[in-house]
Amino acid sequence: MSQPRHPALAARILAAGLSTAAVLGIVAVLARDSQRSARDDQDPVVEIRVDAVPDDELRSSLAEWLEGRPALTDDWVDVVDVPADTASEPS
Amino acid sequence: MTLERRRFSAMGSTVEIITVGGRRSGVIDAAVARVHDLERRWSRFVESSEVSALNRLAGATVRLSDDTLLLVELARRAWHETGGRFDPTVLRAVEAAGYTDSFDRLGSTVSRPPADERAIGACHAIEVDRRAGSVRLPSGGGFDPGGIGKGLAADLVSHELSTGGVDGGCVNLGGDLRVWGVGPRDGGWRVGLGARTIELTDVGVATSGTRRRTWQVDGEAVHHLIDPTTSRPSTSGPDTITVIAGSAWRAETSATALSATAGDDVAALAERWGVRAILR
Repeated sequence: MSQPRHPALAARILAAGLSTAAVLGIVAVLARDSQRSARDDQDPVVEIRVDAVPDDELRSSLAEWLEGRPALTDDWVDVVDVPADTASEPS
Repeated sequence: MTLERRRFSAMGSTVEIITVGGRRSGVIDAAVARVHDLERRWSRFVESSEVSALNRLAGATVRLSDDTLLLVELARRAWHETGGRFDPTVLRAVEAAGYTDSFDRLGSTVSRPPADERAIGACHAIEVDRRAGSVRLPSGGGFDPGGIGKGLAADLVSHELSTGGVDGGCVNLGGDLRVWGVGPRDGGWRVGLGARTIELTDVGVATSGTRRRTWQVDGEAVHHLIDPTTSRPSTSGPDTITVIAGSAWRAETSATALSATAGDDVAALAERWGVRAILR
């Protein structure tokens, strides 16, 4: 399994409520220098890294989503005479 | 059924997100934040974006987020599937045409920077290492997310909404959109294409045109759609073309590719690629 790379993915998965579809690892490294002397002007360093690895189901779901429907045919497009919900124009 | 709608500006466009139904609150707000997140990663006009870093470091191996890896991978795939008619390595030609800043800051008249056409058409030379999470552009090359970024963003945000419990939705980034599930009035989604409206569901739609994002260079009107065969703004394609495809990234890359294609060839290519093309 590839290594996770960015925290936004974790936030995204959590936002989606997919707690069972993610492996969430939180690594908090608190580096404290208990021997810190008065001459040491460095603040303690706190590094928090949040990694998430979507499970196979989520990966598969996204891959399928990005493929979308197979080749479109005419009967998938109906011209209607009602107000549009949204529009596609050149941007 | 609950209907929520947000309109805001991002990626140089007006973004519209509509959700129907849903079992939790706050999902649409997360979608708005996600669009801004992708813009920060992908915009070539944001100095700190991953795409800007990738272009600055062309020739070196750059470690990227999963989202940006996916962007590059799918762009490369679209280049292959369209026989090079969609080409994300036209960045230097886009810049040479004068499109050097976000369009809302560009102004109507810009000076033409020196052309640097190195590595245009070198999509095959982009190296993607998914295990390492890295990409290497050919030296001197550039990656332009225009022509795929908004469509892929629409797909990603739509997927997250759909897995977040929404019954139906529309994510529309400046005309590049994905619709799925139930529409606001039951049935599908009604998408306006100029004077006509079509009903669709579970597809991506994108429209490209040479009448928008135009500017003047040395008294000459130019636009942003580059013909990869000439490295110049296209002159042979239709004024406006809408493509309907299984996903928004494919609709957008196909529309970009077909916008530089002579009208007689559009229908045949669209059929070969499994998309619907509507000349407007």
